[in-house]
Amino acid sequence: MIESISIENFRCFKHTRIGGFKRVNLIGGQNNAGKTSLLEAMLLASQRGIDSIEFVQATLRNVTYNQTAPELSWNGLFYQNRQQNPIEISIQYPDRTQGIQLTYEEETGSAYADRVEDTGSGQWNRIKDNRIERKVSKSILRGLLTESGELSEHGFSFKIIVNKDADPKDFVARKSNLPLPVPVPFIPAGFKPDPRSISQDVELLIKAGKEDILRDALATIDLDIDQIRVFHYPALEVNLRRAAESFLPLSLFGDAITRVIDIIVKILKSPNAVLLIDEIENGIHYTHQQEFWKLLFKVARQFNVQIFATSHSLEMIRAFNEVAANEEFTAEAQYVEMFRSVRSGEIVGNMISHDTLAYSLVNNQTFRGE
Amino acid sequence: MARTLLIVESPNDKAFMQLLMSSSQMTEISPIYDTEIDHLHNFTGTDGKEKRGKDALPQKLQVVKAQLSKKSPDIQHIAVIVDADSPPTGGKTQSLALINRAFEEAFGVNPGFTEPGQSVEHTVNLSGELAALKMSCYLTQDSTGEGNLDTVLKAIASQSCAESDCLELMNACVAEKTGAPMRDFTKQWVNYYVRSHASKKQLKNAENRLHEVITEQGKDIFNLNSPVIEGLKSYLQRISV
Repeated sequence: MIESISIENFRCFKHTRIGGFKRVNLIGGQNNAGKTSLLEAMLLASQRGIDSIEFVQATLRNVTYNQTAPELSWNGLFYQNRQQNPIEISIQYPDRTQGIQLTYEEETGSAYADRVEDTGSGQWNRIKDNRIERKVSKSILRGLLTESGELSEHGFSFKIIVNKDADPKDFVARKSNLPLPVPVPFIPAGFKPDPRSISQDVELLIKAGKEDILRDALATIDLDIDQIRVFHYPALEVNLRRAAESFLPLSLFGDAITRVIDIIVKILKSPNAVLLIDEIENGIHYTHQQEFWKLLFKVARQFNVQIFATSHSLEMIRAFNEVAANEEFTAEAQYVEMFRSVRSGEIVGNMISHDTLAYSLVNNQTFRGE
Repeated sequence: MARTLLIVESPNDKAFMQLLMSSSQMTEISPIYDTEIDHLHNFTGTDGKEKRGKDALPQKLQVVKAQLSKKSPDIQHIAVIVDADSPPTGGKTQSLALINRAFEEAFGVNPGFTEPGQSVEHTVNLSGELAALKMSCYLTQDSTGEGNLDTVLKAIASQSCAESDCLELMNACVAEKTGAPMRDFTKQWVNYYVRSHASKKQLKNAENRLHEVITEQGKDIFNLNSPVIEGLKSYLQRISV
């Protein structure tokens, strides 16, 4: 499990180290305190792939490619747009450290346009000079090159190269010795999974005999749901049946049901990994939040998944701490308060113990960066 | 400007410290400035037990530590006053051990207090920045070296009070009949004493306002020159300059 993270020159982090993580980590703080950026840093350092770099810019931040000023597509990654300094993120496990270094460069000419093989229409291109042929995303951002392989200190090093002269195809891997990235599920705030994709995943899990886990998960929101099926007609979609009622498509149920299924699917698909969830409270009614947390604690342990979740919700934080009070879960729960220190100007991760959070919750003390 | 944060056990403690710090006896000796007083709250811990009074000090200091980085970088001295209480759960040694442990858990430094009134200064790590922090403590105690705020207030009460006098008789009667004094006798004695000097408005909302009597009328109903509180006054002077 990840015990700590060190972040340099990334987003709002100039220089930050946060240590003391446990299996289920809930991160609170005011707006712009760096909660989502912390999840992004976790993703970049644990997945270590070019796709995750694109994901944090294009998918999470909705950055689009700017042909006339391509540096604008990337400068938000760097602390105060300081692209001249490298981003360095490392995560520490009990027995090892891994991470990435990300640098930025501008070049002229069409130096790297020929390194990618355009496959025509579709989502992906192929890298020509890759030892292992790998598909690379046709990103709206373009101009990202992976530069080198293992570094002694930071693991992998990537370089973003933008080119105003050429029309760089997409992502290009310059060196071929990078292993395939490890999948690290990231559930953004307000995310609604693609119904087709989630149906395929649920179908696979049912075939693998894991329907019980899904059903138990749904029981945290609706005790009456007793069956889960994937129907292929009229459209591929998960259908749920409440006791003595007909099957109904997932789209007719509330957001909480879809969110719970999505989270459980991601845990079951990626055991022994990290799960990142932004604004975990989305869609979960407060009366279900304690059961929801109990489920997460149990499933995370069962499948050896480490969870990092953010929340603005007082009710969600209270529910987390009440579940963490259970002796079974106390040692696996950690609440992290994020704020910008008025002393150092740095973003800080303040690890708050269960008792201190309980004290703060009942006595109107501050614990969300205020 | 540097400020001191004084942490005490309860709203009554806070009111009494405010009284002492603003009393003429204090200001004649030295100016009092920039000492903020906060008090502890009760809560239920992981073990399911309710933590009352000074048992919540470790958690309070954790909260304070974050506040030093979030909004109060000018606080450079944390002072703690808690009841001395009595053995086996209280007493000087136990109470100082609790204070030492609470500081250590919050700031990573054990001040090593062995006597009430001591102060130490250490460099501590606050959110990645090293800062000098002064720590000090005092124990609220009566002439026996034990006790709490109530035993102190009872000892320095300067007015007659029929309710409290009658409670004395009742306590003697209970002791005669049961072989043991009334439970929480001193606490109740002080409660009657303070209530007897409260206004109607204060009595109407006694739970939230009774401590106002201590601050507003304390000079008239307590002997602030009593030797029982000389040590406490001296400590308050030291943390306020």
